[in-house]
This record gives sequence, C-alpha cells and structure tokens, in this order.
Amino acid sequence: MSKLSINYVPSGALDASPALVIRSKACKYSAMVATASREDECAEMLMASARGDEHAFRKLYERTSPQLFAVLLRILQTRSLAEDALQEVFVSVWRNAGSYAPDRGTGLSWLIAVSRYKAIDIRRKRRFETVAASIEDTANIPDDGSNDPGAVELPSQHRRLENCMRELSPQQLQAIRLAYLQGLTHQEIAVRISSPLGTVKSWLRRALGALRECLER
Amino acid sequence: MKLLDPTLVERLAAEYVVGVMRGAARARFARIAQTHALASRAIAAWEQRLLPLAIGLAPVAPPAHVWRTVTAQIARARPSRAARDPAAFRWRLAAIGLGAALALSWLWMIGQPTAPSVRVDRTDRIALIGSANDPAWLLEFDDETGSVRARAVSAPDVQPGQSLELWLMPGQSDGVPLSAGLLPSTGTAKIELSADARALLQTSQLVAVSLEPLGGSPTGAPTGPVLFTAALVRAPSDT
Repeated sequence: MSKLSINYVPSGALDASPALVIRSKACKYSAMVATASREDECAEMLMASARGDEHAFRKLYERTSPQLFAVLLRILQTRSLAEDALQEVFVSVWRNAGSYAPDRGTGLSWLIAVSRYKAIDIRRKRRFETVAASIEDTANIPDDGSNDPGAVELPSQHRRLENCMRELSPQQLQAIRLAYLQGLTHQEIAVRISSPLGTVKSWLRRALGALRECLER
Repeated sequence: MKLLDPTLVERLAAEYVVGVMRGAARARFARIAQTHALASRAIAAWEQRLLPLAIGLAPVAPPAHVWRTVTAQIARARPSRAARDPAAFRWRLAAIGLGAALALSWLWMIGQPTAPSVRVDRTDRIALIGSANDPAWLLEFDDETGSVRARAVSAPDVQPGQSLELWLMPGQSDGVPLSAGLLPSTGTAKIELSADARALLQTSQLVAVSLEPLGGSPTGAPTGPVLFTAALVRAPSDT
C-alpha cells in the first residue's frame, strides 16, 4: 500500500497524518473505461433500498457505516454526536434513497456526501469553538490510513487525486484537509494555521482550482 | 447570482463540497442545485474528486444501538405510510381497529363461508393493474414474507378453461419472468411466492398478467397474450 509523503505542516493532534490511503472495503467499485461498464455495489444496494428492500438496506449499513462513522467522528469530534448523526443519516438514506441516481457519482460518494453535509450542519449549529473545545475522546478518533488487509483497491482515477495533491503547497493541502475532513470554515482554518483570513481564502480557492486542473489533465 | 456562468458555478460547487461555504449561502446553493443541472453536476464531480480523502480515514465500527434506533425509527414511520396510501379500501383496512376487524371477518365468514381470510399485514410495495380509474386488480407486496395480497376490483372475465397468471418481471435484462401465481377473478386472494419468486421480488420493478390455460402456464414461462403490465411501486413514505 503506497503512502503519500508530503512536506506537511502538522497543525494539531487531530490532523497530524499526511497519509492518503486510497482504498475502501465499504463497497466494491470497479470501472472498465474501455467498455463503459461498471460495477458499484453501494449503488446497487442504494437502489434496492429505494425499492423497499430491507435486506439490501441492512447490508448497505453493515458495509458502509464504519466508513461513514469515521467521517462523522472526525467532523463532530465526540462519539455521542457522531452516533446520533449516523442514525439520522441512515434514516434519511432509507427515506431518500430514491433520490440517488448513478449519474450523481458512485453510491459511496453519495453516502459520504450525505454524511459530511449532515455533520457540517450539526457542527455549525452547535457553534463549535474555533479550536475544537471537545477533544475528550481524541484517542478514539482514527488517524488517517488503515492497515486493514481486507481493503479493496479503488480504481486508478482515485489514485490520481493522490498524485495531484502532491503538487499543492503544504499550506494548500492542509487547508483542504481541515475543511473537508474536519468541517472547518475559512475563519476556523485561519485561526488553526495562524494565517490571515484573506490568505486562507485565496490559498484554498487556488488549491481547488489547481486540483481540478490537474485531475482533468 | 449569475448561474449560467460555469466558472462561478464550478468555484461555488468546490467551496460547497469542501465545506467552507456556510450559512445562508450554503443553504441557497444547495437549493439551487436541486433544480440546476449545471450546479448539481459540478457538486457531484467535486464529491467524487475528493472522495479518496474520506475513504482514507480508517473505518470505525459504530455501536450496535445505532442500527437498532435506525430500524425502530423506520418501523415507526410505517403506519403513517399506510395511512397516506391513496387506495381507499386499504385506508379503511388500516383504520379499522382489531376488534372491528374481528367482527367484520366474522360477519364476512358467515355471509361467504368459502371466501379466503386475508391477514392485514405490512405493505412494502403496491401495483395497480389496469387503468387508475377502474383498476383490474390491486396488489400489495410484503417483501419480507414474500406474500402478495391480490384484490380483484374489475378483473376481466375469462372463458372457462382459462386462468390469469401474475408474473414478476426480471430486474436485469438477462433474467426471465417468474410466475407469482394465479390472480382471483373476484374477491381477495393471498398469494405466497415461491422461493425463486421471493428472490426476484427484491429486484423486480414490473409485473405482468398473461392469459393461460386453466391452472396456469404449463411451461413455467408465459404462453398466452400479456394482458397487462404494471410498475411495482414502493408504498408511499411519509417524507
């Protein structure tokens, strides 16, 4: 398993790992570019759930909830909040699975987006302190990267993100990670990395633009 | 907001997905994306691009009580789902209390001793066969037990020596239709699906009715003309 080594500026215990491990065992996903065919287990389970298939929904929960829980924990910082959010996410997935369509991306991408947006809403409503006030169970919050031997490789297009992120400056990379993984606002990122707000905004904007350009090369 | 400017939409989508867009702007952009394909496509593309960051987090198994709460909340939502079912007779069935149901079934049995007794249980999906104004049958599927309640409303008359057979159509193009059983010409029948049909029910989205010799198709595949097809739709949800 390749790990990405970057000259990364650690900014606190919660986001200290530079590793990007591009894999998941949540759902098998494979795409054959040549034949335009693809297999997306999460998407199939989501669409079966939309038809009221409770067995598929249970399987979807079993397969994806550990990954979604990790995402929620990282943003919400406390187990009880992350547990409540995970439960809300799955009740809402059951009710709204019909709004997923394969042209919205892979099933796992959709589930992670639903979870992240839920966590971001909760985080902002609770007006988290700029530097997370509640780090009581930091020890339980996973670090990046797992060494799970059962992991399934994701296709090469995902690996390209790894390569493109290498081209960002350490500050840009850090700003993206703090925003995406921890749900921080521009202001919170500015405090966290001790940089002016305007600078953070332009770093992040340029980083996202550069990332897109690199991914589309 | 100049929504037709793709560069702007692209930048807003990136900031929405990465999470730094906040407050009213965030809510507004989410609303816009519901109706603007350009915005929703840009959001989906960014979600996919950044996905490896989230997948890079080591999974953490949630405690078992989370799943129990999820199933309890879903189960609680079911009665209200039935109550909003537009089919009037089902609405009445759902509204009838246990005592009234027992009294009715007793009266029903006195009046029509040969009529099948039909248990009122859950409905996951329904299919309305025929026209919406004058349906031939209404089918209610219980996905869990693999049973179908078929109520003849205006079922077509058939010649002696003929039966009307219900088929589950395959969800995939390479599958074959499987017989679900024979439909009643009057009254209500409960059909128990075979194990194969139960498995197909999980993916099937379409049913068909064919005219067959008395007792059903002798070959296991439809042999007569297909008289109706109907979509299997999920029973209305409360959200």
